[in-house]
Amino acid sequence: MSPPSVIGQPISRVDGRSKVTGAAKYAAEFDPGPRLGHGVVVTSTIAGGVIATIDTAAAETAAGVVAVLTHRNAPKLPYREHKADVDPEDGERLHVLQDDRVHHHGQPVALVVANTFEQATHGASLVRVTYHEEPALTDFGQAETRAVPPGARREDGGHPGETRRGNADAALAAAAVRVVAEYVIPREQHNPIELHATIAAWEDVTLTLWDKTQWVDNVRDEMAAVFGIPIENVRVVSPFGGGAFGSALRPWPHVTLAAMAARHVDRPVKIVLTRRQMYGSTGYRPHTVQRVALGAERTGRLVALHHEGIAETSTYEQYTESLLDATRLLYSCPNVTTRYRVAPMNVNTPTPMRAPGEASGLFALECAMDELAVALDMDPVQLRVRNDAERDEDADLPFSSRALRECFRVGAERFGWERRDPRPTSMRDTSGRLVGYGCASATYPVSVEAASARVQLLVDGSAIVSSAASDMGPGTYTSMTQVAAETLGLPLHRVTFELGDTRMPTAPVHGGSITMASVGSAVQAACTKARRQAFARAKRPSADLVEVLRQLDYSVDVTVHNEPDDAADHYSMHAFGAVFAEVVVDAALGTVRVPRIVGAYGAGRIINPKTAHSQAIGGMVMGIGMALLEHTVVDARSGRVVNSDLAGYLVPVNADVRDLEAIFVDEHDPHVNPLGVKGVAEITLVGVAAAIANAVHHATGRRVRELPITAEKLV
Amino acid sequence: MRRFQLALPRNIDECVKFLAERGPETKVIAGGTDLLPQMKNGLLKPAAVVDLSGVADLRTLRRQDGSGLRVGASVTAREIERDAYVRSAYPALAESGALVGSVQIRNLATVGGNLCNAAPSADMAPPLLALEAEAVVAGPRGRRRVSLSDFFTGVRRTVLAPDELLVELIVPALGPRSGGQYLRHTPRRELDIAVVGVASQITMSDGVCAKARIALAAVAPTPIRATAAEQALEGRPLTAEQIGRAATLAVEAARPISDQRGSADFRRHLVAVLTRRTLTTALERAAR
Ligand SMILES: Cc1cc2nc3c(=O)[nH]c(=O)nc-3n(C[C@H](O)[C@H](O)[C@H](O)COP(=O)(O)OP(=O)(O)OC[C@H]3O[C@@H](n4cnc5c(N)ncnc54)[C@H](O)[C@@H]3O)c2cc1C
Repeated sequence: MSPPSVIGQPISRVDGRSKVTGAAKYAAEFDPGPRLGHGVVVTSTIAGGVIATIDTAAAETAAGVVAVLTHRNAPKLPYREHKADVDPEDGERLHVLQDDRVHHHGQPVALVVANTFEQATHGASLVRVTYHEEPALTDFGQAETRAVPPGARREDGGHPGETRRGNADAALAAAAVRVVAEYVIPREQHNPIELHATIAAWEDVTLTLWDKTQWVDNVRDEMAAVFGIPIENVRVVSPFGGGAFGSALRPWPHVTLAAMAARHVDRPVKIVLTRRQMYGSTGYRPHTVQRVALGAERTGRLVALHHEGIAETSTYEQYTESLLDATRLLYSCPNVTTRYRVAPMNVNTPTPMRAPGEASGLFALECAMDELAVALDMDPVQLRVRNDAERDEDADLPFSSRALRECFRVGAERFGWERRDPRPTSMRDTSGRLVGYGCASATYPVSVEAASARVQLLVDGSAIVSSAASDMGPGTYTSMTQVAAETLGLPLHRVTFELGDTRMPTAPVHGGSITMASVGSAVQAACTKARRQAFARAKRPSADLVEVLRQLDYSVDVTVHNEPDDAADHYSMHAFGAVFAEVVVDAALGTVRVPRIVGAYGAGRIINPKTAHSQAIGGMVMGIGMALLEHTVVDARSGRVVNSDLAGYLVPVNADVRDLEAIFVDEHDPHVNPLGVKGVAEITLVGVAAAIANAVHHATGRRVRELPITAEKLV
Repeated sequence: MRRFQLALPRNIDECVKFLAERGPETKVIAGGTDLLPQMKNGLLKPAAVVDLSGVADLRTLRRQDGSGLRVGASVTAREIERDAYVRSAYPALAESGALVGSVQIRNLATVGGNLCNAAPSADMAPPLLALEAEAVVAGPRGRRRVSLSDFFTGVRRTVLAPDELLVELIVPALGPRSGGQYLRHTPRRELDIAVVGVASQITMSDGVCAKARIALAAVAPTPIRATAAEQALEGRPLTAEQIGRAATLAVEAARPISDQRGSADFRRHLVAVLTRRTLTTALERAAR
C-alpha cells in the first residue's frame, strides 16, 4: 500500500529546524582547521585608469599579516577559456590581480591575508594605492549615446538588437489610439542577507572550495579553467545559501582570490566580502531606460507595439538579459518591433537579479498598457483579456498551457477589482487618504535543463537522494524530498535529500526558475528506476518498498541522467500571472503604502503550496521594494556607489508589508516536463512594480515613470 | 578599528575622573548604536572608551515631585516609548522614542547618546527642544545646566567639552491644557533616518495659545527651534489659518540641504505639512 500523496502538500521545510538552530552550515562557517587565514580585499577608488603605485610595506609588517597580494606579486594564472550559461557571451571575465588596469570603482587591487579577520581588515586599511586616472564613463546619460546593439554571435536564445513582426511604424501611425512613453529603472542590488564568502583549501594539487554559490558545478569548472587544473582536482561544497537572487550565479573575483591566496600562503584562506564590497563586485540589475509605443483600435485591440530598451554593461563584458522577450509574446499583436542596446561603462558587470529582463521589461510594458487603458477609457483587466494571445506569435508555436485569462479572472475576483471606480483620485480610505487599485500581467519562461540524481535505497528502508543542486532559500530540499518520497512510495521521514556538492551527480544552475523542473525530473526518473530495481531484487513479493528493502543484502544505488525531451521544439512554454495591488497615498506627504497585493499564477503543478506561497510573497515584497524604495545611487564623478549599505539602500521592512496573497490556479500542463511544473521563483516579482505604479496613478492621477516612486516624485 | 582601552566606571564621579585623566581621545559609550558604526567605519578612532553601562545613576527615569520629569542620559528609547507617565504627559517624547530604529535598537539606544551624537536628524531632539528641556552636565569643574536650545553647536558637535558627561535632562512640567506631537517623514516605515522631523508643543489658555514651541530635525546643521512660528501663534486662537501661517514661518526657519534622501525643496514642503499636522494634533491633545 503506498502512502498518501505528498506532492501538493504544504510540507514545512525539512531543513527548517537546522536553519533556525544554526546547525545548517553556510560557506563562511566551515572549519578547514586551525591554520585558516583570513583574506580581506582592497578595492579601487577610481573608475578607470592604471595603478601607479601600491605601498604594502605597512600592511606587510602589521601584526598577524601573512601576505599581501597585488598585481605585482600575484601568480599569473592560466585563465583558460571558460564560458557557462551564466557568463555573458561577449567579453571576458575580470582577471583578478593579473595587471595594473582598473576597469571600475570597487575592483579588487590587493588582498591582505592575516591570522585573524580583524588583523586582515586592519592590514587592508594600511595598503596605499595611487593611480593614473583616465577619463571613465560612469554617467549613464553619456554612455547611452554610445550604446551598441548586442553582439550577434549567439545563434538562438540570445537577445537580439532588432526584431520585427509586421510593420509597427506604419500600424502605429495609422492607429486610432496611441501611447508613447519612456520608463526608467535605476540600478538595483540583490542584497542577500548572507554575505558572499569563499573558503579555499589546497591539498597537494587538489582544491576544495566552500562557497556561496547557486551552481557548484560551474564554480568547479571555472576554477579548473582559471588555475589550469583538471576538473577532478576541484571540489566545491555549498549546502546552504542565505539568499542570492542571482548574485551567486557566477563565481566573482573573490573566489579566485581565495584559491590564489590559499596556494600562495599554503594554508586555507577565507574571504568574506563586506556588505559595501558586494555593491562593487557581485553584480546587480542594470539601470535601464525603455521606450514603449502602443497603437490600438478603439475596441482595445493592439495593432502596434514598439519596445526599446537601453541597459548598462561593463567595458569588459557585454551583459544582456531578456528585457524585451516577453513583449514579443505576451499579447496578440500583428506588428511588433523591439530594439535592444547596451551601453558599456566603467562599471562591474551586471548580472541576473530575480526575473532578470522580465521584471524590468514588463514594468515598462505593463505601465504602458495601463496608460493605453486610460486613453481608451477601458478597464485595464478587460484590455489585457482582449489582447490575450492564442499562440506564441513570436515563435509561431502553440503554448503548452496559458492561464493568463484565468489568472485575471481569479485574481480580480479575489482582490475585489469590481469595487474599483475607474476615475483617478476617486477612491479614499476612512481617514481620507487616496486609494488606488492597479494590475499588471506577469510571465516567465519555463526551461528544463539536463540534470542527474542519485538514489540510494538502504536496507533499513530509508532513501538518500542527491544531486549537485542548490537551495538558496526557496525550499529545494523540501520539494525534492517530496518528489522522491512520492515516486519511491516512501513516507517523507524515510527520505533524505542532499545537495550542494560537486561529488554529487551534476545539476544545472539554480536560477531561471528551472530547478524544480530540471532537478525534479531527474529525481523522479532516478527514483522510478531505483524502486523498480528494488522490487526486481525482492526476495519475497510485497507491495511495500520498506519491506522489500529490509529483505535486501545490499543497498540499491542508481544514478540517472535526465535530458529534457523536445517539447520546447513544439510548444512555447511559459508561466503566466496577474498581479493586483492596492495603494494608499498620503497626498500631502506623497507617501505610498501597499496594504494589499493579490497575485494569481498559472505555474503548472505546485509541488509544495507552502514553500511556493513563500516564494510568491517574497517576490511581492521585492516588488514593493522595486516600486517604492530600491535604487543604487552612483556618484557619476567616481563611479562609487553612494548608498552601499542597508541603511542607505532601502529594501522593505516588515512594517512596509501588509496583506500578500498568492493563488495558484489549477493548471495541468502535460508538455513542460513529466512533473508538470513550471517554476514559481521569478514570475512572482514580475508585474508587481507595474501594478503598484498603476495603482499610484489610479489613486493620484500622477503617472510616475521612473522607479522608485518616492514621495518627492508625488508632491 | 584602532585598539582602545575600555573603562568600566561604576558612578558618575569615576566617569568624570577617567575622562579628565585620559584627555580628548576618549569617548563615552552608552548603547553604542551610533558610536560603534562610527568606529567600525573609521570615522572615530578613540584611544579609550568609557562604558556607561555600569553607572546606575544615569539610568533613572523619574517624575519629579510636583513638577516635571528627569530623564537620565542612559535611559533607553524603549523605556521612553513604554513609560506610562511619559506617554500620557509627554506624548511627543514618547512618540520620538518609539520611532528610533527597531525594537532591538531601541533597547540599546539612549537619550543621551541620541543628543550627544548630535545628528541633525536625531529623533528625540525635537520633542525635548519643544519641551524646553535642560541638560545637566558633569565635568571636572562640577556640574552645570545648559538649555537644550544651546546644546547643539553643529553637525555632530555639542557644547560638551571632551571631559564632560551628560548626566540627565530636566523636562519642565506642563500646565493644564497642554498637548504635543512628534512626526517624521521617512521613505520606509521603520528603520530609516528622518528626512524631516517636527515636534510641536502647545499650551492653551482661555481659547488662545498661551505657549507654542516648534522644533525641527534634519533641516539645518543642528535640530532647531522655529521661534518666529512659535511667536506668531502665542496669544492667538489656533485656527486653521493661524496654524497655516505658523507652518509657513517654520519653513522659513529651515535651512535644508539637498541629498540622496530628499531635495531642499521637498524638505521645506515636509516642514510645512508636518508642522501643520503636529500643531493640529497638539491642539486636539490639549483639549483632552
Ligand atoms: C539600525 C539603526 C537605526 C537607527 N535609527 C534611528 C532613528 O530612527 N532615529 C534616531 O534618531 N537615531 C537612530 N539611530 C541612531 C542611534 O540609535 C540613536 O542616535 C541612539 O539614541 C544613540 O544612543 P546610543 O546610546 O546608542 O549612543 P552611543 O552610540 O553610545 O553614543 C553616541 C554618541 O554620544 C556620546 N555619548 C553617549 N552618552 C553620552 C553621555 N552620557 N555624555 C556624553 N556623551 C555621550 C558618545 O560618546 C557618542 O559620541 C539608529 C541607529 C541604528 C544602528
